[in-house]
Amino acid sequence: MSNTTYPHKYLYGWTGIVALSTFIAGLLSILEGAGIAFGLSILPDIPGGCILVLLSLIFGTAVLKGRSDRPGWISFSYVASLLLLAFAGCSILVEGGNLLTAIMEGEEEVNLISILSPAFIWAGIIAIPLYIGVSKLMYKCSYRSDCCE
Amino acid sequence: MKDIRILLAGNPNVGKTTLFNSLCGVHQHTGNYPGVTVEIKEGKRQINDHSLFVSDLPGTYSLSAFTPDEQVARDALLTSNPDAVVQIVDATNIERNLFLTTQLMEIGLPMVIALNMSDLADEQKITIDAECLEKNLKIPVVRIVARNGEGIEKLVDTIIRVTEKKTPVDYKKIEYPHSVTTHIAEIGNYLSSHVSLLGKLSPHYAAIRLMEGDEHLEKMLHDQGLVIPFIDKCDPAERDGIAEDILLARYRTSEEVTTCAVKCSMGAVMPADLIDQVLTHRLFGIPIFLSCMWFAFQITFSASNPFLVGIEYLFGIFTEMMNGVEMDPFIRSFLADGVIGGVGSVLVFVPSIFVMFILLSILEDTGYLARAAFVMDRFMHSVGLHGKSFIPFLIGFGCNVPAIMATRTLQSKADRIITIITIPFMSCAARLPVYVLFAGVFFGAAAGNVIFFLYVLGIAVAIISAMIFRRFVFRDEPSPFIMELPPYRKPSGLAAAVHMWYKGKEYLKRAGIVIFGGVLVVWALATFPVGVEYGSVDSLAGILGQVFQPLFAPLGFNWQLVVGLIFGFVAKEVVVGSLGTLYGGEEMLESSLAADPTLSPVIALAYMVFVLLYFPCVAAFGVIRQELGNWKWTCIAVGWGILVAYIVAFITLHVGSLFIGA
Repeated sequence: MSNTTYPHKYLYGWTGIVALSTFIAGLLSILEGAGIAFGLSILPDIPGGCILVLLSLIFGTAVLKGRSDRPGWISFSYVASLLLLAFAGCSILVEGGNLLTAIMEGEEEVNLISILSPAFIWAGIIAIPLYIGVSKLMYKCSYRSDCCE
Repeated sequence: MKDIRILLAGNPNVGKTTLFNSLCGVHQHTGNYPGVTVEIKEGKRQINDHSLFVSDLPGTYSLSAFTPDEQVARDALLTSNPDAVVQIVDATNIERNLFLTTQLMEIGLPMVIALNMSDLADEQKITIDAECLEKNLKIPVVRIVARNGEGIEKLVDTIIRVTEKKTPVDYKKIEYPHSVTTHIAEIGNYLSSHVSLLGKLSPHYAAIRLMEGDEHLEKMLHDQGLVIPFIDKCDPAERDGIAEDILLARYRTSEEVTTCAVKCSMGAVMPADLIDQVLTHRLFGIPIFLSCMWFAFQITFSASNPFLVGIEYLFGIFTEMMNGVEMDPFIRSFLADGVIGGVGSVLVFVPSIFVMFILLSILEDTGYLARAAFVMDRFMHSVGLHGKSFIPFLIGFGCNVPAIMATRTLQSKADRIITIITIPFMSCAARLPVYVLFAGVFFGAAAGNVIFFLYVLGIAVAIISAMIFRRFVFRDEPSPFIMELPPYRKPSGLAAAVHMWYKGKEYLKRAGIVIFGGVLVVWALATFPVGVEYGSVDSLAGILGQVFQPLFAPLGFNWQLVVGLIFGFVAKEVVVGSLGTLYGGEEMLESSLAADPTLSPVIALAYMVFVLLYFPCVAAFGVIRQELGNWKWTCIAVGWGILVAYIVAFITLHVGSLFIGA
C-alpha cells in the first residue's frame, strides 16, 4: 500500500478496524444468544451474529485483497460497508417495530434505548466513514480512464 | 378516428413493460430482471383522433425463438401484421440490442426505435448520436426514459407519423456474402409463386428465415407439400455455414452502426462489475442472499406488528359496538363470528403482506434478485434445476400463479415440468398470515426466525424434490444457463409503493371475495344444525373435521386445524379465516389458540410446515394444468405436494419434539 497513488491509506487501515469490530460484535451477539452473558447492552441474536461474522469475513477479504488488488479492496469494502449500513437500517426498523408494538400493547417495561441494542447499529456507525470514503474511490476508479470495454 | 396497432418488441429487461405502462396509463408489473413478461399484454391509448392499441411482447434476443415466451413474441411479430413495431433499445447496450433490429428490419414493417434508459447512458458517460443512428438504419429514433415518461409524447407522434407514411419502408440493407445473397434471391423468386403458403411473410424475408435455419417455417412449408429449392438439397454442414454467415453479417451491421453512433468514456471497470465481484462471489454470494432474505422476514414480522395490533384494536371496537346493538342472535353470530371473526382475522395480516411486497419490490428494483439467480445457478444446476428456475421461485414468494407462468422462459420441457412441480413449495404471500399467527402465538420473540426457517424449508424441499425428479424421471442434464445481469438501479420509493399497493390490492380483493365466501361457508358449517353450540364438535364443521381428523392424528392436528386445511384448498387465506370463525372470532383467535390444550409449539410448527407444502390453491392448480398441458403431470404435481407435506410435517413433529418439547 505504500506506493499507492490513491489517498486511501487511512481508509485501508479503517477497513481493518471495521473488520475487527464487526467480528467482535458478531461474536458477542452469538455468545449472548447462546446464553453466555457479558452484561453488555447487545441484543442476543445468533442469526444476526452470524451475519455480522459473515460481513467481517468480507471486510477481512478486502484487507487481504488490498495488498495486491486495489479494485478488489475497493469492491469488497464498499459492498460490505453498504450491506452493514443497510442491515443496521433494517435492525432499527425491526427494533422500532418491536418497541412500538410493546407500547401499543401497554407493556410496562418499555425501554427506548432497546432500539439501539442490535450490534448491527454499532458496527454500522463505525462503518459510516469507510462507506463514504470507499464509495468516492469506487466511482473514481470506474470513470477514471477512457475505455469502452 | 383511426385505429393504430403497435407491437412493443425488444430484448429482455429493456423496459418494454415500463413503456407499456407509460403509454397506456396502466400498472402492469415491471421488474429489473429478464423474463417478467411471458405473455402478450394489451392496452389502449387515445390521442386526438387516433386510438393506439399497444401489445407488450415478451422479451427476445432474436427471432429464432427457443423458449415458449420467445415463440409468443416471434409469432406476434411475424403473423399479426401490426401497423408499426416499436423496438425498445437499451441505450446502455446498443450494439447487442441492434442484433434484433437487423432481424426486425427485414420483416419490412414500419418501425420506430425507442432509445430507453438514456439517462443511465448519460450517467455512464455513453454519448449516443441518435441522428447518426437514425440516418444509418433509416429508422426514426426517439430518446426516452420510460420510467419517468420523458420523450413519450415525441414517441407517440413519431409512431403516428410512421404509420401514416404511404411509401414502403427502405431500411439499411444487411450485406450478406455474395453466395448467400444469390441463394436468398433464388429461394425468394421461387416462393413468390407460392405467396399464399407464406401467411403474412414476404417471399424475400421467408427466404432469409429459411437460410437462417427457421425449422418452424420449413416444417410449415413442407407440411403444405412444398419442395424448397437449395434448402432441401443442402447438407447440414453447409446450412450451418450459411446460417453462421448470416449471423456474422448481422453482427457486423450492428457493430458498424454502433461504432458510428456511440462514443463511450467509461472507465476500465464499471461500478456494477466491482459490486458483482462480491455479490456473486462463489463463497459469499449465497450467504449474502440468505442474510438479505433473513432481514426481509424479520422486518416483515416486526415492522408490521404495530399495524397488526392497531387493526386488532379497531376490530375490538367494532365488536363492542355490535354488542351494544339489539339484534337477532343469529344475525349477531353471523356478523361477529362469520364476518368479523373470519374476514377480520385475515385482514389483520394485510400489513405483513404489504411490507413483504415492498421489500421484495425494492430487492427486485435494485437488480439484486437477478444476481441472486446467478449466484444460485451453480447450486441449482448441481441439484438438477435450471438456474433460470430461480426467478420463478422468487416470483413464487409473492404468488405461485405468475411464478408457474414464468416457467415459460425455460427452454427444456423437463426443466419446465420440474420447476412447475416444485414452485408450490415456495411460500406465497397468502400463507404468511398462517405463519404470523402461529409463530406469533407459539414462538414469541423467535417468530421472525421461525418464518425465515419456513421459507428456507420450502426452498430445501423444492430442491430435494427436483433432485428426485431429475434422478429418477428426467435423467438428462439441465440445459445451460445464460442470463443477462441487469444494471444496478437505485430503488424508486414510488415504484415500490405502487407495486406494493397493486399486489396488496389483489390480496384485499381476494379477501373480499374468496375469503369472505370461504368463511361464510365455515360459519354456516359451524352454526348448523340449528341448536348445536357454535363451532362445537356437534356442528357440521365439527363433524367434517372429525371425519378427516384421524388422517391427521399422526401429525397432532385437532379437528379445527383440519377444517382450516380443507378450506385452505380453495385459498390459503381462508385457513386463518376458518380458524378465526371456529375459535370464536378475530379478537379471541390468538388467546384461544394459546389456551387450546391440544396445541403446542411443535404441533404449531408441524401445522405451518403442512400449510407451506401441501397444495397452493385452486387458482394455482388451474395454471399448473394449463402450463403442463395434461392431467397426468398435474395430478403428480398435486399428489407429490400432499405426500411431501405429510412426510415433512410428520418428521417436524417428531424431531421437533426432541428440541422444543411436545
